[in-house]
Amino acid sequence: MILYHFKQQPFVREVQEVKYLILRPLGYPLRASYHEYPVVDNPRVFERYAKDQWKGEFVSKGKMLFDYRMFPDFAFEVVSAEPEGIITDSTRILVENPKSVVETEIVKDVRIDDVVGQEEAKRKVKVILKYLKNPEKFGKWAPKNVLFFGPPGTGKTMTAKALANEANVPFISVKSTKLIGEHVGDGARRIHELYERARQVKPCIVFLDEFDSIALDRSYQDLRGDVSEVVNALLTELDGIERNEGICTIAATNRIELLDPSIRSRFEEEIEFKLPSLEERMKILENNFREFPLKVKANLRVVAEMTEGFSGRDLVEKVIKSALHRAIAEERDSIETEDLIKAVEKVRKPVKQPPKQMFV
Amino acid sequence: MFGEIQDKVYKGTTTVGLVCRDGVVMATEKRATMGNFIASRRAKKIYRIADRVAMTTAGAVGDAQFLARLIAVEIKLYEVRKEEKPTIKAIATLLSNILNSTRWFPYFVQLLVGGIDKRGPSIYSIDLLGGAIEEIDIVATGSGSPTAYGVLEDRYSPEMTVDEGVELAVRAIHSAMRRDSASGDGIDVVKITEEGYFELGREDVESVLSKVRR
Amino acid sequence: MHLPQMGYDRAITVFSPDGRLFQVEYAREAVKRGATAIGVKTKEGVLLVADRRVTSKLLEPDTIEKIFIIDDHIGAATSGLVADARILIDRARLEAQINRLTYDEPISVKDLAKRICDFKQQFTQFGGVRPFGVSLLIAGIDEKPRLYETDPSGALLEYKATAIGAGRNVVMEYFEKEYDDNMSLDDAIVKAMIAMGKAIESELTYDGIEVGVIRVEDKMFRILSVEEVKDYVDKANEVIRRELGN
Repeated sequence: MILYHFKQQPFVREVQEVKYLILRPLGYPLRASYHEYPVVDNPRVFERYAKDQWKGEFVSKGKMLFDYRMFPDFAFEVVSAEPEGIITDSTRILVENPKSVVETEIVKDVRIDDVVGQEEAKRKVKVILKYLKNPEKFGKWAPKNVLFFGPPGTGKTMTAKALANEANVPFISVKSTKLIGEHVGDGARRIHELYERARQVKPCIVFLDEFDSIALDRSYQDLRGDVSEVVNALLTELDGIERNEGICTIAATNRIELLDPSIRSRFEEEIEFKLPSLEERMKILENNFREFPLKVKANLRVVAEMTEGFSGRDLVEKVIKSALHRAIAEERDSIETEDLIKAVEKVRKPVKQPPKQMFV
Repeated sequence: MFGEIQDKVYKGTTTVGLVCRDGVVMATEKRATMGNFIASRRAKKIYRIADRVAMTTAGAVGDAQFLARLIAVEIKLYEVRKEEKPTIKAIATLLSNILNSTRWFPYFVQLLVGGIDKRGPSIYSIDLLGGAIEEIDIVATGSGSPTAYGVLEDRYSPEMTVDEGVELAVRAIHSAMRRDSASGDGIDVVKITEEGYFELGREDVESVLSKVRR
Repeated sequence: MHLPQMGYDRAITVFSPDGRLFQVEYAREAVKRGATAIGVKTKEGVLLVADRRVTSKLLEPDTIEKIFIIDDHIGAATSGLVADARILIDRARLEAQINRLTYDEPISVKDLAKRICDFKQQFTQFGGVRPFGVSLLIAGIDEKPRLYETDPSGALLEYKATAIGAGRNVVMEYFEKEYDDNMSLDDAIVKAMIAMGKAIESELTYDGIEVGVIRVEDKMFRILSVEEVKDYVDKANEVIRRELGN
């Protein structure tokens, strides 16, 4: 048996088909005044055009692809090819628009199991996973729009990314702040652009971060006239039942109370992300120390107990990282409880809760 | 007007107070008068205003009753608010403040406040303008007080126990009742020690009296 | 970025179009920030149990007051803003004594609770004031055991068993199942402690819990000493340990 394995592996290195290919326009090798700078006009037409000339090409990250036809020698860089392999008819080709705020990502590194706690979110994620794998089955009962809310650093983005990864679909994200442009009309256009992209690559996840910045309650919208236009565009897109099959929109916000009720009603489920409990903080610490550059000689329970109110991100960024850097700066080969405690003490948690002594 | 009323109110009562070794004794007779008329023969002139504090009253009955209610309630409030019992001195001072604050429309009373607190036994006498004086040994108020004082001065000793004090108090009131027409009709005696507040029953008073009577 | 929602939550004297008084509702949120206090009524008497765990080692435990004696025959437990609670407690004590002064009678528990509610209500109807961020459990005995709850709106309700503060729902849920008209006062204390354990999701400590009791025999409200509390806590902890283990 073992021999068989040894023999087989070097030979059967299968060349896979690329499922998603993301390109970035790079430019010409030389510059001349008469060169026009081409822009993708219709993504679907471009996809067909691109496949015609590059079919069978082996692509991997960083490789350049040159246009042969309309703009000879204009280069595109492969931002990501998922998986690496040859371009076939079924490859989805996406071109990043340098001016666009929409980002398309193929997530590889996060898994649902990496998210500690947040059981309610995980339950919903399972449903969405099933849907993305088999959209037809759900029909009009499809999970479409889900709202994640809760304090910063509690894993909203991470969960959404993990979902994209496990479902093996693209993760299309946009920071909502970027949806509001300089000119009136920019916002609505960008929303449509976002969903245009989503429809092109579906099934996929659309992730709207900092959602409260655009989906403000209408009583607040008087201040920002352009926001209401974004809200209306969003309502249209969130409602698109037929056209949006296979698209799951996840919005995330820290301040759910500011959201417009009409938008909130479009979300079938509002899932709260909570700050981790003692046990969950233990687990987050353990997970992060599993693969760690230094030896760990720390009593994690002590650290977990003194970090009530810390989010997962706080633990990773403010506690573990700064403790690690401290140990490295002092040329030590291990990290100790004391390092972690010092890091915790340095974090002045902004006081969100009113002082406890005011209440009995 | 003051003088008139004051003269009247002081006319009719005898109360005594004794500071003894182990507590205090307070006693009054029970006659209430309106001029020459005996209005009541079983008037209550000694009030329990706290767990270990008694107040005797001489003067206008209505004023006395009101002050007794008021001070009892103030003491209760003091206790629940401060989670400790007020001292006799604190009670006397509060009464003094109340009386002095109404000095232009006064309560016509002469009070004795006595009992046991964390510092031991003590008695204060308080007049209608709020003058509060700590009595270190014996005190008597009301129209029968000269007679009562005669007896008390003669027989009192600071080494007395309350039980000896009870006998002396009864003797003093008894003498006053014999010589003061505005005093009479029986005796109320209260003794207050660390053990508690004891109001003597009729039989108890009678048995003490039998020793006192000639 | 905080803008008025048409200003209905600014002044308490203003109803929102759907008939709500937002400031009063917000005051109830302040109550939820308070530690849990439980009241249970039995035929033998009434008891109050309060969570008084200290948050800092440096804090003197006595300084956390949750249960107060109002008069000989009445006690009260508070949840919410400490400062507001003190004012209300003092008011209650005063009302109790005013009744004695006026009628030379101990105030009935219901009367006292009403007086407190009337007082609270004034702060929901007139301008320039803010409601009390406190709920009170008022326990006492007049003819029979009484247990009232007042909230920041001034609403008054009598309960067999109830709770205020952070753990209210957990405790109420527990007593919905566990309340028994014929249980003894001692059993009720242990049950209240078990409910408290569930509410704070941990075992109890001797000095982390305050218990006030009034029995029908003597009608004197008493706050139990740490020594007296021990046995009850031990009994309750056995159950709590088992249930938390799951």
